[in-house]
Amino acid sequence: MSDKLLEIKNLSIHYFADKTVFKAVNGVNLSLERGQTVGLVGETGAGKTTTALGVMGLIPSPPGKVVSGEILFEGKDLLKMSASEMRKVRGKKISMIFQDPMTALNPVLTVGDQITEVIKLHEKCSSLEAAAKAKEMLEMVGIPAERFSEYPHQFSGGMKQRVVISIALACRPEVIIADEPTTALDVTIQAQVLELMTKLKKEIQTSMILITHDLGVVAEICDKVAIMYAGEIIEFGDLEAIYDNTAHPYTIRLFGAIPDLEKDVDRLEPIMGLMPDPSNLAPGCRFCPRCANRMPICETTPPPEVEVTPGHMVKCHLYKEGGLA
Amino acid sequence: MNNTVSFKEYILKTGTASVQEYSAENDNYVRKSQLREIWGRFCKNKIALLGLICLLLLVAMALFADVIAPEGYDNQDLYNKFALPSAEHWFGTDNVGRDIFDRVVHGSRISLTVGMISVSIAAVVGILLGSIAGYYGGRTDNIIMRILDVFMSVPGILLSLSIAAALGPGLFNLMIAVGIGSVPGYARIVRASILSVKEQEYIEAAHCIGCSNARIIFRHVLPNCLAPIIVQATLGVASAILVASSMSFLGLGLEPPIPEWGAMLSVGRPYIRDYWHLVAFPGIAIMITVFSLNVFGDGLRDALDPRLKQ
Amino acid sequence: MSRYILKRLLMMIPVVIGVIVLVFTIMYFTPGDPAEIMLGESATPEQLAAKRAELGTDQPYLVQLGNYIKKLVLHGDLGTSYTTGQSVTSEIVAKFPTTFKLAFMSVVVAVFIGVTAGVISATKQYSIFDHVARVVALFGVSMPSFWLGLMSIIVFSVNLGWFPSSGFDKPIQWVLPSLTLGFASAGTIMRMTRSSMLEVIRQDYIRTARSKGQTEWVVITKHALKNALIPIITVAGLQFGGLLGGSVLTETIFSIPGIGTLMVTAIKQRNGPIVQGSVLFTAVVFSFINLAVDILYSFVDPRIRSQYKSKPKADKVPKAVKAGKAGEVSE
Repeated sequence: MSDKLLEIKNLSIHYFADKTVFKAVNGVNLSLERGQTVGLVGETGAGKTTTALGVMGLIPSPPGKVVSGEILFEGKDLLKMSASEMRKVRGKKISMIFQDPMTALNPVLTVGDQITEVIKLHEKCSSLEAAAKAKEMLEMVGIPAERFSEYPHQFSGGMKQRVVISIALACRPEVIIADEPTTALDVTIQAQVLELMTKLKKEIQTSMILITHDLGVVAEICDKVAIMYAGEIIEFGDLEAIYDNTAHPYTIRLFGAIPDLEKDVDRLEPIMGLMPDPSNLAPGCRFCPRCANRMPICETTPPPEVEVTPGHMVKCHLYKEGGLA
Repeated sequence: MNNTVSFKEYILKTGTASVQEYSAENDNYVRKSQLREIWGRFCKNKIALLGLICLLLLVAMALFADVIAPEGYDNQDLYNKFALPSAEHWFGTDNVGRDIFDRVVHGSRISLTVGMISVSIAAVVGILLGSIAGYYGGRTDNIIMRILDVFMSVPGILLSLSIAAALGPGLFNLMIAVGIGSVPGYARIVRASILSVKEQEYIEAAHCIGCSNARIIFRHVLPNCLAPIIVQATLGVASAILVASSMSFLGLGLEPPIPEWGAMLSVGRPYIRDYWHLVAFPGIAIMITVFSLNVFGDGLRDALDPRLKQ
Repeated sequence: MSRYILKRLLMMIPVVIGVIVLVFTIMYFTPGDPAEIMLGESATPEQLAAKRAELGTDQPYLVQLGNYIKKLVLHGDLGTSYTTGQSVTSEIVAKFPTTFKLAFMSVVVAVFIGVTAGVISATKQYSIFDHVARVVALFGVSMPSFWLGLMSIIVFSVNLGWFPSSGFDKPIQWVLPSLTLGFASAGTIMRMTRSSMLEVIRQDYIRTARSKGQTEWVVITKHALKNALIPIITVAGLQFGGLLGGSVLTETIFSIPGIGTLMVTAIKQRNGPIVQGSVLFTAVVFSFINLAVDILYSFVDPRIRSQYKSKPKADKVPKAVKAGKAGEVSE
């Protein structure tokens, strides 16, 4: 237990609008050990970003609200911290890389300013020292330091994401949450940015939660994988466990939807149907309407979390402790 | 937006295959439900609804001024000058003993008429110029827009004042003087909409089936910029009423005994040291009218274009 | 940058000529014979004819217009006042600083109140402050400024005796005129600030700033406000023009000897040259304010700045911004 750096327990986050409640995150359990990378995988709207914002304490409120749960970081509950305590965590201990580099940088401030800002906030140093550090960071992510006083519009998308990364890493945080850091980028740039991130992660020895819907990326850089569906983590385990002993029908279908170079198939198999409406969730298993293996119990009772093999959790009625039901 | 019945369903349902009939009926259906949707959105906005109610009351007051204040607006009573508000004279009386309430009631006719007609003048001229500029483009566009630039570079009230000076006093002259300043606003809206609609394929299609230019402008292009024009016009009535009352106040619009609210303020001004009620009530009347129009216009804009709403 | 300014100045020339023609034409059709105004009703027909010849008012329209422009361009001569016989240019130059000071102070008041209230409203959307501020702003926009001036005289000069009701020499005399004139503009600026800030606050880069652990105050003032500033500056610039015009009424109410009172008197006395000169002068000042606003954009937004620098057709961006936002201004 002691090496668990970040532990999310039973976290539920709902958005309240007019008379409807959007249950974006429902009882999520997730833990991150020091030095590890956990992949958080799921479709658009599964609640990945909301979970991440919950950890950062940046749920837009109103309309969002954390309705239950704990987020333990180094043993302290982030949700119970005061606003000013939380500010000391953000950017210093936990930082976030956002999805869209095009919009994540302030267009009217120089990139140098934006990196210097976070350093000055968390480290006791003069403006000059902070600027020098910021330049170091720029070089570290592969941008010449001369571009320090340029504005975001003078950078390409990939370069902007490097700036965003350098902001996130500037104070050498314990945890980085990367929210689909490559989705908005060209495929060739994607590989570069991922490589850079893994390299830097090793260099500054930090832990990472990587949010993505790209199982290929997960296979490359993650130690553990959590599969998210309709606000719940439905399967969680080591990379090998998830990839080789895939348990949950949803995860199985997810893998079925990836093109495989070695197999010659005419069509990929899509998962039929859509994610359930988060304002109108069924009482039983959320995946049940789209599931090929559904049983009568699935429609009425939410599946419990079971450990099929040590460290490999599944939420599905097909399984019981230690294996198939 | 699932209201549209597909053409196939329509044929199956009615057994006819007339495209024209289908589109006419369906169009009607969609339009009606769209209006209802806009109305629904508008009603959610409480303050805009309040504005609409106030506005309806004001219009009723203008229509039934003779019933509400049967004594007329120029009923002098020199024995009863400067009477403070009382049960008999709700708003008191002015420097020649006229009942201020009666005058305010009758004044609503003038303010609303001036506001609406001057905006109509401005809107018609503006829409025409904007359509021509946007549709024909090129040199025509350039000339029209440069001329409008000239009008826009003179602060509105100064332009209205000088035109009023040239035309002389009078109701219709006042309307023209107030209207001219806002012509460029309408022209710009229409021109911008036309420029964005012009390149769309259905306009090309209209060209292909041989529609005349005028028909394309009036039937296909203008309906698309109706919403911003309606909003602009509503807010325009508000500012026209303000400008008109300012001009009457300066003595360059309507003159006493006409119960124009601005003119009433001008009458009361010399006496403000002793009698506040001469200027208070006409001003409140202007404020309520303009306020209602403003919140109504704002609400209308939000209801017509929900994307703009925060 | 200087190239851009030069280009804008050149572009102003046709507009100014247009304004000259416009105002001259309006005044040309204004009834009343200048000769009669100057000589009075007792003048004989011969005297009148001589005076007309002297003034040139017996010439055809185009000749008169040509003469007017020629004198203006060559000597900065706007003609002679029919009533005082003095040069119009000198009368305007003498009166203009007062009007400008009034309009400028009103803009300062309006921007200060409007931006502050707008920012608070946006950050505390749907709070009591927000609701109250929005209603007050709406009332501000809906109130005739001259009526507000009259009422403030009744309350603050007559009843409370705090501020004088006329004059514009001492600072204490500035309070009521600039507050009442600026109030409506404050409402407009508040509404624009609020909507602009609400738009900006939703942006991703604000979330980025918060994710750095930045305090809310700095997030709002440094990150959000600077981005929300372009439409605010646009509206403030337009308001400045409106206030230059609106000072006609405020000056009348508070008996301030500026361009406004000069012009109203001139209109009533059918003193054409003064009216022409005042309108023209104000329009030119307004054009310069617009230019200043466009230049200000480039200080706020580096994207516009680099447009001014690199491409010769640089005026496209601010124009688009303006056109997009101008629709939201009610006047």
